[in-house]
Amino acid sequence: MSKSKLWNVVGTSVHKVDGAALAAGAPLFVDDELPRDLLFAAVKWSPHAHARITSMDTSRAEAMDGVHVVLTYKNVPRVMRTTAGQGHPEPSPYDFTTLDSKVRHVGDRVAAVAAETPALARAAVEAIEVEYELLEPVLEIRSALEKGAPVIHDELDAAMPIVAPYEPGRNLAAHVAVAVGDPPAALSKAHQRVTAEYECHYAQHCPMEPHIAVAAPDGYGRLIIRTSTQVPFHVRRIVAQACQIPVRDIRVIKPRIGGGFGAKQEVLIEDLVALLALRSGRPVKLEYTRAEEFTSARTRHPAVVTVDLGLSAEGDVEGMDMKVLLNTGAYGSHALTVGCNCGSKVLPLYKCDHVGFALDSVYTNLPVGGAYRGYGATQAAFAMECAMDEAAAKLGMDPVELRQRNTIGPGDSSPIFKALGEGTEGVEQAIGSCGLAECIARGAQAMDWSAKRQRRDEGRLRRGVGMCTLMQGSSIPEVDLGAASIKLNEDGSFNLLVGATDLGTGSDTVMAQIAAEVLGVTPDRILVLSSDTDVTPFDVGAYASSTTYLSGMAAKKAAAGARRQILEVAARLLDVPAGDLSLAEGMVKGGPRPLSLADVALSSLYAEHQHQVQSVASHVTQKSPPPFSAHFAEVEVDTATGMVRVLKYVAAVDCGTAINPLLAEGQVEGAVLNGIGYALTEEYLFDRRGKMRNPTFKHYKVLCTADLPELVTILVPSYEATGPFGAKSVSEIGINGPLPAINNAIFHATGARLRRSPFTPERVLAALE
Amino acid sequence: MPDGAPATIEVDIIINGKAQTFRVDPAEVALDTLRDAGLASVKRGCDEGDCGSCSILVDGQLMRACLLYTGQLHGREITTVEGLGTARQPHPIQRAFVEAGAVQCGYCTPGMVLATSALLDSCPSPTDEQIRQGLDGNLCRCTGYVKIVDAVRQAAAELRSGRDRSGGDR
Amino acid sequence: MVTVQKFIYPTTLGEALEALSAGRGKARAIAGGTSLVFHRGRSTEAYVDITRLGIDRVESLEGRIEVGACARLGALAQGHDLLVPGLRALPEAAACAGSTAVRNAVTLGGSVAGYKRWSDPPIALLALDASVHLEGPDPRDVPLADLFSAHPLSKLAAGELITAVLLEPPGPRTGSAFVKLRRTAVDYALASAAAQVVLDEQGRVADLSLTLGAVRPLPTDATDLAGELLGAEPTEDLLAQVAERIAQEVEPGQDMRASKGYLARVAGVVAEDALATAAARAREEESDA
Repeated sequence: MSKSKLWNVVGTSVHKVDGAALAAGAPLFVDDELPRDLLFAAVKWSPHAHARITSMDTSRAEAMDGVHVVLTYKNVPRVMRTTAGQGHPEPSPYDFTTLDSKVRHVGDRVAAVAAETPALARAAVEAIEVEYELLEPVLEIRSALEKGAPVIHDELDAAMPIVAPYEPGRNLAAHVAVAVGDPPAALSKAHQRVTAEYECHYAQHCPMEPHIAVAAPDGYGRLIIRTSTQVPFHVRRIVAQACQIPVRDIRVIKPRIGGGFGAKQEVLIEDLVALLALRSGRPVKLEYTRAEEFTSARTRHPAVVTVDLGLSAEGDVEGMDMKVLLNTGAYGSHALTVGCNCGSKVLPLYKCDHVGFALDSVYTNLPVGGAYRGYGATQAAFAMECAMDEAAAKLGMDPVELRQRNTIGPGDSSPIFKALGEGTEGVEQAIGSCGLAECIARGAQAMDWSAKRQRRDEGRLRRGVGMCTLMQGSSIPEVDLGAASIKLNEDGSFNLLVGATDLGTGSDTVMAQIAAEVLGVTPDRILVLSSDTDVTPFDVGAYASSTTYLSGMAAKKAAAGARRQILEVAARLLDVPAGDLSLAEGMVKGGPRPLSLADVALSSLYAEHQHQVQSVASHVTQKSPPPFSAHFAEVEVDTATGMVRVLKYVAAVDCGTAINPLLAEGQVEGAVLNGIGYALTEEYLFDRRGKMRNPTFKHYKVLCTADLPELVTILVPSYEATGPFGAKSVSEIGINGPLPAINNAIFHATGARLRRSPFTPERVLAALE
Repeated sequence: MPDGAPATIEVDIIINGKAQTFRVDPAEVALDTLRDAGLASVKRGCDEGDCGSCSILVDGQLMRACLLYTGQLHGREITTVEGLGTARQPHPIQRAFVEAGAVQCGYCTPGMVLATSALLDSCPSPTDEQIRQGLDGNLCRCTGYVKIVDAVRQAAAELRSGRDRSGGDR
Repeated sequence: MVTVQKFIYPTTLGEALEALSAGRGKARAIAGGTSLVFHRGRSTEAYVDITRLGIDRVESLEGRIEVGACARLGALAQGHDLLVPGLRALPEAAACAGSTAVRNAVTLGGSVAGYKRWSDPPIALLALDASVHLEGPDPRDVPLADLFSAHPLSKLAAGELITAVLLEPPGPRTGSAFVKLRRTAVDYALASAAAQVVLDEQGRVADLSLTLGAVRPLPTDATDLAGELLGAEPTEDLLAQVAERIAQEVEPGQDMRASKGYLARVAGVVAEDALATAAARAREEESDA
């Protein structure tokens, strides 16, 4: 039986529930529906990488006609906290307060204003006079921990809210060291040893919609915040913390949002609009410019990752050690957890009993790291997968064969799962579903790997192929909570309320499909609302590849609850046991006469045993089943200019059941192209004082349609028993492949091995010589 | 001008077939004017002409609302996606974008749809290469463009067959 | 602060010139507007919209080709009159300047008057030995090379307007090419080069011109650096020597994206590629004839 027959709606590429409205340009985003009497906020940013504010004169700004509020460190509560939109208590240091008397990177906050017009707000910001005592900045990741390095968080109240090493006095934002087995011994006696250091760079998510939030006091004295966020419930909690007001006084609404990729898993601007609205009594909007998005939002943590591999002569991995030096920038947002993921989402891929992992996350006076699709796996897979390629070369083995020999499979476990979690110990798990072997085989075939691997070009233009294998996770086990509620309407439609936050991925559609499958209706009968903290159940939000796997299970459970209630009503109406009945095609089946869901609803609402058919469900998981993937890149290197062109890219991915194959492919394709841009063209350029010189799409080069290589996506089916209808995650994994796959392809094409990303033409040319 | 009192100019623009007159600051940019006029499809993405979120058609030509003074639009005809179709009655290009899976967050979609419209207007049977060229100024961070190229191909086929059915206007 | 107070929409050249001169230096011509929109209010009181004057056509007149200053780059990229080998550099440069939507807005005259270090079309025009026609108090033709001895805008007097770009129709066995090294399809050049090559009947280089773009604030005339090609067959070895010489002698300006050493080297490479393609087109042109 084919999958499409197994289910009616699951496994089908139904149209995105919000697709038609979005394509029509309907007013669905924060900026499209603004309250009356709106004030506009602007932020004064630090021009210095590291400085203490010695004096600040706001009198000129405050005197301007139409300027309502000026916030500085002198008039806002000092509450140490994190901007990381994580669960409570956040595993990120509390090293940030709304406004501080010290600035720690170019683009750090100095002051904020609310005024009648955007131009006036900007003028007021200019009119604030600030004097700084300049401090020596830390601008190099490797020098952050040196003795005598300037201390970036010398404030006394910075602290870690969970039990974890934290030493701000030496710029150490997080530290982890774990080992299973005896890695040094295993490494030292290995037949073949590869020790390799790889460094990857700053990047920004570049959602097309920059950060935007509007806070408006309502008539009851509460604050309504409409914001482009991935984490509405964390926004509510953290804004309450920052403003020192109760959670009950805040309502957070997430309308459609214009992309997130982790950038909006950060409570970045909501605290400012909230405070400005509270002080002015007026609605206030803050919208980042594109330049601010680069300098004053969050970034991918740059990292120096050293991998030490020991292999037998036959190519068995016998020992692995990974050391990560992670640059968290001026604040420690996600410094611990991104660092942990470097190990926990990469090391378990290879069967090995002797594994070491160590992390130092360090402060620098550079842009702040944060959650970014891939979340550490991107940084570490670069090093690990290139090191594996080096190992294959040393052993004279095909890289595909080396992977086939060593990768984890169904039923296998890894000691790393238990040893390394999100800043604390992890959760033991055995791999359930795993289609990696098939991913490798089908990906290699689609790339014509064997034939292309034989090729050796000698001229100016040289082609080569490279590959890598990948894993990620699906939600954070025993941490993340997803919840959903569903109710039946008079016409047989349902309102499905989820805290899970569709950030453009199509998760509302996936939730609708899951509920529709359970309830025997078409997905258009499921009206999804995400998210409104007053209305929808709690959900941690859209991150950690959790929505389909975790929140989808909550939606499935809630729908099952509603289904039970519907069948009970129907059983009474039809006078047959509920067990004889089922739901299909919008009808109750199995009874003596046809009964529609509308009949059930009308009866329960207006006639007998009156009640609302409604169900709410929560879901927590004990597992984080990894999706797996094999990536293959074909490149052409111009040896005269160093320019690298990706000709073809194949991503084969096992995401369990693809609830909506078209949307799943879209996740892979979007992640892969973002990864290719990261590997080749996207780069922060800094001046000697730590200021980003290219905060614009003119010089921070995001790929466009004309750069698109032939991109092949292969969904390899598997069935994850713990996920809804066999599903696991798909959204992040794809971004991890291009760095190593392209680097390995460049090596195959030219024999040159790059150890630093991005692979700009100048770096490639230098590596060729 | 005494005491910096702001001058205003009158600008006549035909927007989606309807003649409108705007009184604006001469230094105002079309993106602001059009958004203030309630055209939510014209999105702000970079304000520098690089992302294409604020794409509009000016006399049928794809342009950037953030790179035009409102005054430059005087006497011109503007098309935005609001003028193509609605969620309930989509234009074939809009429908193709939804069907092909080319809409993710949807922020770039109105601009992409207009770029497609302009492309197919001058080139009804584009090659993939022409599609990639025609949409080269519209950034999308969600889709990786694969499904967008699919959507354009699909829309082109549908528009061609629509023309065939109606006897063809070309 | 002086701010823009009005827009003027002349429909004839006479009206446009009158509006510009009446503005006494504070009226500014605007066409595509893509560069002006970022310089709001700077000593400009009036914008004179020159896109309605009918100066956007490509015409062959009196033995020369006249490209209206308001011709949009998008149209020029497909401009069939210019798709001859000898002029091919121009549509090629127009086609890779910015993205489709930007090319629909930017005019050829604007790309000269609003020149920036990375503008592509002027590089091609310089290699094609183009002139511009200026209208105003003293109407005249000016070789583009003269206009580019400093920023072109500094060479225009108040009330003067570029109305056309003038090109000589290429003679026989003439080819040209524009080559641009860029990180993505829509990007400013790291280095660019435009070349025009005339071959004699034996396939030797009879004449050439070579202009480098992007490596320095102003376009670089590198014709002399390719001088050893004159009278010789443009072989791969010889072209490689030219590339080497350019890499040695060109002195790139500061560019945050790459080192001077790299830019010098790739300036040589794009020059080599442009010369090679131009020469190949010249040979093609001969075989077509």
